[in-house]
Amino acid sequence: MKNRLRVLRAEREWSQAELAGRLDVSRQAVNAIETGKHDPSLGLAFRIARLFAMPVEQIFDDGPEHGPEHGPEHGG
Amino acid sequence: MFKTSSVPAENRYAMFLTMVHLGAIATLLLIATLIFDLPGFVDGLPQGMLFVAIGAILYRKLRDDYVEDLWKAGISAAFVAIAVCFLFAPLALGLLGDMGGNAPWRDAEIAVQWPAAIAFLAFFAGFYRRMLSGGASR
Repeated sequence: MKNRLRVLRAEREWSQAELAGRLDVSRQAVNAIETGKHDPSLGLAFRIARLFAMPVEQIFDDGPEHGPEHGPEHGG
Repeated sequence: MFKTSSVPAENRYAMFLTMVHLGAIATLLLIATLIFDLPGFVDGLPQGMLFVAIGAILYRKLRDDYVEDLWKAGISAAFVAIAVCFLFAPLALGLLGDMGGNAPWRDAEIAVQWPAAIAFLAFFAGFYRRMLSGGASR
């Protein structure tokens, strides 16, 4: 999964260790997310989104976006 | 065991990784004691090391999001290893039995199968318990 974590961190001039401290994870966790080796859990993704005051989908990208025509049908 | 509330995630990660290394070394030593006929006091060393390492590794508060991912990968690999042992160990032991006499290998076969069967039971019990309770662990 692609993400903008490195860019967002650089914009704030935070080191990986500083971001890790703010998220209460290890520096290795931040590095693994930035390099795409690890997809964060839902809880951590929301913590990251709250920290940067952005929606999750503006930070993480799971590939081509699906339009509503591909979404699940809601029967009445 | 450990007070983690005030311990930074970085230190928890380092502690967890140290215990993983300790466990890996202990496992290698344990295998060595099983293969080679080493003195009695050498047998106890890896068991003691494993006891400490596994105790720390199982302590969930040492794991952050990334370590949890690594933990799951390890657990998956362990499950596959148990499954392979369960399915193929009797065959291998049977072949060895044919080559070297049956009686001792028959006991070894039972010794291999029982722990694997209990591990399977524990896995599925945990699986269904989690599925039915629907509780999120993170």
